[in-house]
Amino acid sequence: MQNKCVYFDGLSALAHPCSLHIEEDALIILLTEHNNARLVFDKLSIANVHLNVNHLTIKIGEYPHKVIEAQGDDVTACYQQLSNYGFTNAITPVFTTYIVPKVIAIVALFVGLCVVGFFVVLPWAAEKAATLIPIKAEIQLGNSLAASFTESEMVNDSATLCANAFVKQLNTGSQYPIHITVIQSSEINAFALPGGNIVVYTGIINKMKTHQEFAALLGHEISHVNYQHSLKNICRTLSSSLFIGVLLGDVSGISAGILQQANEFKQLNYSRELETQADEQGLQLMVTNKISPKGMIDLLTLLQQEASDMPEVMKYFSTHPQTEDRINNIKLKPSAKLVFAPKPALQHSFEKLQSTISNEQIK
Amino acid sequence: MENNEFNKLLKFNGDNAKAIGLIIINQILTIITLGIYYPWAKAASLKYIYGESEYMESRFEFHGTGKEMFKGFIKAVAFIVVVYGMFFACMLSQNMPLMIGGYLFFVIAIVLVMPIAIHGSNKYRLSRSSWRGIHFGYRGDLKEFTQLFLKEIGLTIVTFGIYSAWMHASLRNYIIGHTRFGNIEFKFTGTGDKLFFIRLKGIFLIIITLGIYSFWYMKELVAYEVNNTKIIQGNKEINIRSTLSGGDIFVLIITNYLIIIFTLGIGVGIALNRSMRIIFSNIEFDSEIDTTNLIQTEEEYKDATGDDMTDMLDISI
Repeated sequence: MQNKCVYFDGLSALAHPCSLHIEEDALIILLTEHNNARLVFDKLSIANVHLNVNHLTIKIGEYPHKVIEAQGDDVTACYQQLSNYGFTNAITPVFTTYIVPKVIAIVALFVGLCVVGFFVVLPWAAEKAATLIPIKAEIQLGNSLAASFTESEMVNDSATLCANAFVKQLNTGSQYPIHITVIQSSEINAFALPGGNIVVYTGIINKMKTHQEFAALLGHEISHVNYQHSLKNICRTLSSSLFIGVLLGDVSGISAGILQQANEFKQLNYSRELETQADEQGLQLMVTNKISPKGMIDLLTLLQQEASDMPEVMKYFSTHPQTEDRINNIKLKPSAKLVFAPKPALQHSFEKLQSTISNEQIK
Repeated sequence: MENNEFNKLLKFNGDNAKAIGLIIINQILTIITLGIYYPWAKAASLKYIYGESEYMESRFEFHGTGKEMFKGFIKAVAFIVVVYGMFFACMLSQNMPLMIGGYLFFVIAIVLVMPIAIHGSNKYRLSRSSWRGIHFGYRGDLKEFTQLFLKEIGLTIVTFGIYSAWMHASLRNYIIGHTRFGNIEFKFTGTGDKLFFIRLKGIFLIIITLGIYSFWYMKELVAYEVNNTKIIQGNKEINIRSTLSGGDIFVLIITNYLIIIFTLGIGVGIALNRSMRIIFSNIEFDSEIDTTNLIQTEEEYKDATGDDMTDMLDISI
C-alpha cells in the first residue's frame, strides 16, 4: 500500500503508524513501530467506513471506537476492495457513484410533486377551505374589507340608498345579506366582496339605459357572492404565497419572483373561469325574476364599447374574458331567447338612481 | 514546536458537489416530510462538516444519528406545543387573571427551559464528537448551570440588557471551563468589560460609518471568542488566535452573496465551504497538543433533547 496509514486505539490520541491489509473476512494491520505486531479485526466488528477525497476513515468496534485513518491516492482502491468483500452494511456510500443519481431522482420527484401540488392540489384545497369558513365569518370579513375600501373612496350615500331599494325588489336567492355601495367615480367598474358586499361605480350606472342592464350587472355580482368567488380567490392567493414562501424560504428573491409571475398567470385564467360562471348564473337570476335576459347582452355590449380603446395585448392579460366571447356564450344559452315584459317598479327605481346621481353631480 | 510562534493546524477540506447535494436533499426531504426529516438533515450536515474538518492531519467525526436526534426533536416539539398551546388557550379565554397567568407561565417556562436546553445540547453534541477516536465531553452540572443562568438573566433584565455582555462572558466561562477533550481541559478568559467595550464601540462606529464597520465588528467578536479560549493539557497552556480581518469577512460575505444569487440558491453549499475554509485557515495555535498524553475519559451519552430544543428556541451558543 502506498497510503499513509495510522491506527488509534480509542484510549489515547497517540498515532500508531501501520500498514493496512484487506482480506475477505477481516482487516489486518501491522504496527510498523512495534515490530509489525499484527492486529486482526473481524469483518463484523467494522462499524463504519467513510471515504472523503483522498481520505479514508474506518471505525472499529463499540464505544470507544478504534480508528484507522488512511491518506493518499490509493484510498479509493482500498474502499473499493472493502466494498467488493462485502463490508457493505458499514460502508457510507461514496457521493459520486451513489448519491448523485439519488439527488437527481429526488429533485425530479420533488419538482413533479411541486408542480402537481401547486396547480392541482393547492387550488382544490384552498377552495375546500373557503367553503369551510362559516358564513358569519365570511360576512364579517367582507364588511371589514368593504369598510377599509370605502374609507378612501367617495361614497354616494343617496345613490347607495336607491341602489339598495332596487335590489330589495329582486329575488336574489342568496344566503348572504346583499348590500350595495355606490362610489362616486367616472370609472366603468363594479365588483363583489365576500359575504354580500357589492361595490358599483357611478360611471357604469350613467352609461346604462335600462333597468334590465342594471339587473344584469347586479345578477352578475350577486353570483360572485353566492359562489364565494372573492373568498376563494383570497384563499387561493394566500395559499399560493404560503406555498412559495415555504418552498423557497428566504434563499433567493429571484426565483420567488419568477414563481410569483407564474402564480399571477394562473390566477388570471382562474378569474376568467369565474367571470363566465357569474355571467351564466346572473342570467339565471334574471330569468327567475322575469327580467328580459337581453339586459345582460346589452350590458356586455356596453362594456365592449367602453373597452375598445384598450390595446389588443392588454385584453389578453385582462381578468375578464374577451367580452365578445362572453356575449357569444350568453347568446348560446336557450334562456337568453326569453322575453319578459318590462317591470315598471324596477324601471322607476332605476331612473330614480340615475337622477340622484346626476343631481349630485350638478351640485 | 516553539512557544509564541503561531501555526495553522486546522484545515477545512470541503467538497462542493457533496455540499450542494447534501443541502438540496436536506431541504427537499425536510419540506416533503413537513419537517420530520429535520433531525436527519441536521445529523447529515454535522457529519459532513466534522468529516471535512482536519486538525494535525486527522479528521473530526460526528457520531450522532438522525434517530437519536429525532427522539430529542419529538420531546422538544411536545414541549413547544404544550407551552404555546397553554399560552394561546389562556389568551383566547378573554379572562384577565387567566391571561396574566398564561403570560407568566409562558415566560417562566421559556426562561427555565433555556439552561436545560443549553446544558443538554452541549452534553450531547460534545460527547458525540471525536478526533482520533478520543471523544469530547461536557462536565457541567445542570443544577449549578441553571442557578448561574437564572442569576445572570435576572441581572440582564434588571439592567435593561446592559449586563448581557457580562452574562455572555460568564456563561461562556462556565461552558468552556466544563468542556473536555479526553483529558484536555479548556478555559475562557474573556471578560464582560472587554465584550461590553467591543459592543459599545461597535454600535457607535456602525452608526457613524453607515454600517460599513459591521464587518470589522464581526472580526472583533470572532477574535474575542477565539483569542480568549485556551487549551490546557497538564501544566501546558495552548493559546489560540484568530487572524481573520474585517476585509476578509467583507470579501467573504459579498462573494458568498453573489454566488448564492447567481446560482439561484443552489450554491449555498459552495458558500458554506468557503466560509468554513476562511474561518479555519485563520485560526492559529502557539503549540500542538501532546497526542501521546491525550487519553480517553468520556463515557457514552446519547440523549439529544437539548440539542433540538436549542434549535427551536433559536439559542446560539
